[in-house]
Amino acid sequence: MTVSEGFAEGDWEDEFLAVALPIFTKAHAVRVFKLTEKVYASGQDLTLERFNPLPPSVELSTSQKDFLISKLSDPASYNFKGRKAMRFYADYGLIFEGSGIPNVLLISTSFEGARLVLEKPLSSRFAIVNLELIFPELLLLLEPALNKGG
Amino acid sequence: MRLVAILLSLFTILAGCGSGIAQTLHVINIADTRADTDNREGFSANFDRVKELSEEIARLTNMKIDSIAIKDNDYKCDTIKNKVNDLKVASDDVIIFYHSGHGESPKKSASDTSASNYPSFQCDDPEHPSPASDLPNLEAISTQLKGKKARLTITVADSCNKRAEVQPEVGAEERALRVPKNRIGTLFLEFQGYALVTSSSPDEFSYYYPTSPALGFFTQQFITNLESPMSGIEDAKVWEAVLTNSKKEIVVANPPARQHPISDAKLNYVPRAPAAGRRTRTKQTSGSQ
Repeated sequence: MTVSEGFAEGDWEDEFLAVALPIFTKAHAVRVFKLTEKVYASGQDLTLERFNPLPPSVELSTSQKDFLISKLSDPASYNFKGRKAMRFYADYGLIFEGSGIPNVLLISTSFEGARLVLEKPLSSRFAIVNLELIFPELLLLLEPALNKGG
Repeated sequence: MRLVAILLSLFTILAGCGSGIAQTLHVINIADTRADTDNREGFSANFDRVKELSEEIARLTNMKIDSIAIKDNDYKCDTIKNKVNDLKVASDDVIIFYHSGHGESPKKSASDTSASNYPSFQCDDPEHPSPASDLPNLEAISTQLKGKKARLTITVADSCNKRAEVQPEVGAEERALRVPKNRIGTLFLEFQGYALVTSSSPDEFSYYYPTSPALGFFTQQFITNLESPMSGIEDAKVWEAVLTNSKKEIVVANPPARQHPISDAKLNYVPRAPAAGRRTRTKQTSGSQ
């Protein structure tokens, strides 16, 4: 999916949620993986090709998946009021398995945010979001899931 | 021959006593506006605002401006280090160093007291990051610039330091109306010393407006304070007021999306005699903050 390069009021939240919400809500399974080393993911044209093949992952339980999707589907979980002056280095990833190809949401613990990675480029201006408002909860979900699966 | 010597002496005295004519304002304005940088628009907006402010300061104080811009593909750690190393200043000059780009705290943890409280710049190759200790650090740059012995050294970063009641955006029309020209002169001609300022405390992010004009929340707060009328504050305390106001909590969203700018300053008020522009007395106004 290609999103036009624009810079207008409301674009960021609208564009991200328009793309992300269907991916989250239609997922029948969510898997989590941890990257062996941090991956720079601030670039403009990052696609799924960069993560082919996807790293080994662990499927979240139904309750974990439902909790995660409820959080990620809630606009109040995001901070769209300011962009951070910090690079995005990913150390975790979530794979959303719906109909068709999987989509990935990279997670950065240093940035306390996420980046949506799709088959086609999605500008980092729209794809990177702040999740510091729910980050502790998010981490509490990811680590145990990985440990249980690993 | 004797007449020539007298004229030369007279010229030297006049040049030295003129109200700021012989001084230079060195501005190292740095912004990560490389094509692939996320938040390039924000850093670019900050760069333009700092440039605009610098030109205004030079115009209002009659200082000659020495603009050193590091942006676009020139934005590299080595370039920043070299430009700081190579800077030559005279004893009555003013230095402004302003970094708008990604940053990180050099601390290993929030309680780490062995590293600086001020951020380091993520100016290396993002795909092959350098060790954190190799990145230019704001406090180290401040120390290096202070060593050049200019009269006034202002070192600022609007960068994350990790690891804003949001202020209403100010339109150009409103901004133009409230530039207090006499205070800019006081701030940049009648003080000596240094100020080291950054946009957030250790383990905090720094945020930029997501929409036009895309400035950093801190840069807007800091420059607004530099330009705001401070009619109720005596000259000797204007820098103290600027720094105090610039350190107000910036509330971007619900906690933890907040910034607490920090600063360290030692600024002496050295007023100049109105006619000759000579310094007349010294009074220290700002200590470490």
